[in-house]
Amino acid sequence: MNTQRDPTVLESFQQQGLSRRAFLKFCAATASLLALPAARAAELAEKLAGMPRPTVIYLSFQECTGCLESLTRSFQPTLESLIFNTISLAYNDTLQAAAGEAAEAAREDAMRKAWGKYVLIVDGAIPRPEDGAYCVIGGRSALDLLRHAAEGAAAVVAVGTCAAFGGIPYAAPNPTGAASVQDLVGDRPVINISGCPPIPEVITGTIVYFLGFGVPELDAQRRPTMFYGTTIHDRCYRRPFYDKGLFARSFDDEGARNGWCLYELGCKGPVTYNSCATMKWNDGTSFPIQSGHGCLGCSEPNFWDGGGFYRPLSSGLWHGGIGEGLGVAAVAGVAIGGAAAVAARQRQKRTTEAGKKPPEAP
Amino acid sequence: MRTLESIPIVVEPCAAATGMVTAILRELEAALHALLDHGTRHVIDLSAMPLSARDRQALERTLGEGELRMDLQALGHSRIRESSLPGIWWLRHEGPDGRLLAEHIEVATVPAIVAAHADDLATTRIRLAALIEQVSRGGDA
Repeated sequence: MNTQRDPTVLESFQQQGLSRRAFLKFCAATASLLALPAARAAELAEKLAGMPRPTVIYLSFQECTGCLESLTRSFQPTLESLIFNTISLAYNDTLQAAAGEAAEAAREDAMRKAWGKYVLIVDGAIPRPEDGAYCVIGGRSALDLLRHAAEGAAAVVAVGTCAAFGGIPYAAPNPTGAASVQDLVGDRPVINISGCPPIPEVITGTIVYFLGFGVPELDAQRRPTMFYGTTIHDRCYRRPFYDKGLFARSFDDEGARNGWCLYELGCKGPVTYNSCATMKWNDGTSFPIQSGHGCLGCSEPNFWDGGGFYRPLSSGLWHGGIGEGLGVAAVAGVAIGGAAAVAARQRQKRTTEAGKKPPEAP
Repeated sequence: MRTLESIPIVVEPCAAATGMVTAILRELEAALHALLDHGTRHVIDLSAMPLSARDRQALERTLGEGELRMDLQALGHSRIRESSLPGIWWLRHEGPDGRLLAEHIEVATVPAIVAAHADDLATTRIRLAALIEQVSRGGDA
């Protein structure tokens, strides 16, 4: 009988030569990232200190590895500390040293030992037709691998828009019949961390939150509200220009140079729920709108089929029609900003009628 | 080779006073009452506060510098300073690469991260007993 106890998160910190104070500091930084109140921060430290490190199985299917690239650029908590101290990453075909049958055997072994308790992270969509024959790894289809792994998982975390909503493989005409994780194992507790890719700190932050407190509060798309609770537009530093009706109308006009709102250049910020405007990218350096380009809406379902990244939302192609997918703030903004959005719609109509293309990126 | 760090980025600080300083001082006042009456510690996470550069300067000036400073070397450097108001502490945690991880104002007799933990004291007792035995056998020579 195996009586050996798995090390707790704190013990694994100490095995790496790090002190209790290093652990407390890690917890303080993570709580700050998660915007937890002080009492919850102390609770997080207490829970992580006493709990064994959970086994994590990371499966990659129809994806580009962009999400893993993003994850490995996480600044806070750093991936290194997450992998070696907070979780026990039993399988990830890109990061692990083992390959071939040895790797698959290690995955099966880890899943058997932690059956019912491990966290399953899935990255990429899953093709359904022909018994999943369009994506086969080690002789088994992605469909089969996912269904089997999800059965024994305490929670399934769908990382990236492909896993969360089908993403690019799912885009019309969806030649492989790709589906999202929740379409296939929706009866399991699924947390969607959408984005193409998701913000690295959102991926790691959600995992650490789950370890401390379980499944976080989720929105209608099963995304953690702590990161996907508001639209990009609601928290955008260019929002005051929208409210005043001041818009950039091409990528090199006066409005663009003055940093005005990119709504008329197709920014999908008003209908996109994510934290880019506040957490930003590359350790809080910038985000697309700050670089002068509109939001593509990459954390929303069907963002690839929205009718064009450079068409304004008011042209009615995104989510079926104006107002239908627009946030309350956006509609209010249209009212406050006078006829600005309506004018954009008319301009769009004119360019369409004249057979002109909408403005292209520089 | 050019790296991301070599690209110069200039962030213009916001010069306006937002009124946040008064709000933080009032929160500190309430936290001090709680510490005196119930012994509860309180932490304000400054990174979650939309402080302008002017707010920050005003807050630092108002709280002032106390007589105690501590340096913690664990997972990078941390600087712990008492303000001119005993019981109100500034904590700045940096990562191993010097990046700011978190910045807090803590209202407590001593910040939580400073005190030695009971579990560590138990380990110390065992280690100390072993050291005494080693020294008494002349192991320090």
